[in-house]
Amino acid sequence: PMIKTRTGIIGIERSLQEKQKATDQNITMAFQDLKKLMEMAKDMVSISKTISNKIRERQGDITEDETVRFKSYLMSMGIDDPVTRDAYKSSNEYFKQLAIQLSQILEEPIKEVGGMMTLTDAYCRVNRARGLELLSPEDLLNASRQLGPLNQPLVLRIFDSGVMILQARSHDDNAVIEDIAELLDDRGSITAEELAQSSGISVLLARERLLVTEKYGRACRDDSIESLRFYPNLFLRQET
Amino acid sequence: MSEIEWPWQYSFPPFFTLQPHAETKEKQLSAWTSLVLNYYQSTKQSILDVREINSSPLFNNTAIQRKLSAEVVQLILESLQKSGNATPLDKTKQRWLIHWHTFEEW
Repeated sequence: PMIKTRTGIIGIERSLQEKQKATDQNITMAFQDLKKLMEMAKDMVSISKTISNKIRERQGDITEDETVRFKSYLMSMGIDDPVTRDAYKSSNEYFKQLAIQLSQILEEPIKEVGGMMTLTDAYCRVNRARGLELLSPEDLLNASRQLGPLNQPLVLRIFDSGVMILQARSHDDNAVIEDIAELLDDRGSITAEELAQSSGISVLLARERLLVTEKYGRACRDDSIESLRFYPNLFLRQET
Repeated sequence: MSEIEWPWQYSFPPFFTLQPHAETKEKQLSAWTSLVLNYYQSTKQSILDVREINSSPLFNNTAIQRKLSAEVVQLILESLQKSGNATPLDKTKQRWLIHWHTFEEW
């Protein structure tokens, strides 16, 4: 065997070289494995596509067990094929279970913050609580879509602006509008930031609340360089 | 220039922002058209140049630091044109003739 000199510059160089060789090998091995894995996945994808074609030929909107199982296969592979999937099942069994779990976890916190929570906030809370086995944003959204059909105490709501929130089923827009209209009368005018501060909700939700009030004709806006302020809708109230 | 009695809307800041709510917008525009007519009649003017709206106290309320944008002025003028109270003087619709009374009223 070779005598290894561990002293001097040559010794250091040699050990460096050896280390490099080892990492090189590790990397090539990792990539080889990855390639094989990907090839397998490709097969799975093509198989699942042929299955989805077969289902399409049969054309049925009944919730069959077969399609349920098929969907869970798709989910486990991370393939998103909603266009063909949606026609056969309202959504995956997984989402349904998740939706039920979501409403159990979030019902109390949402009531605490006034009946509404943005989907991003909900995402934070749920994932922070779960630690491992995190949810993807899509999972959360799909599960939230199931809340309504499943008659859960929470429902998903999408504002005109595209902001999505979870809200308690008992939440009543009209009550909120009345509150805000009263507040506007008291203060004269208000911005989303001021409302957020005074009622302890997020600026995003405060803004949406003001916009809803405006949509119902109870508020009107003053858009200036300073800010977007909302006033009581005197145009409709005052007759001159 | 004779004094004009400003309507309550004139000192109401939202009056200077086009309202997105349909019914509110309608009220707002009709208040504007009658204010424009009233103003031109009491100051005895008849030419309105869209490029000069910033210097006119009608569209620029310095007391509350709000002014109307040119787009809204165009909307007001178009609705005045529909009621027969205004006629554009050039093709780009920058200069307008304001009629205190419509031709039918004459």
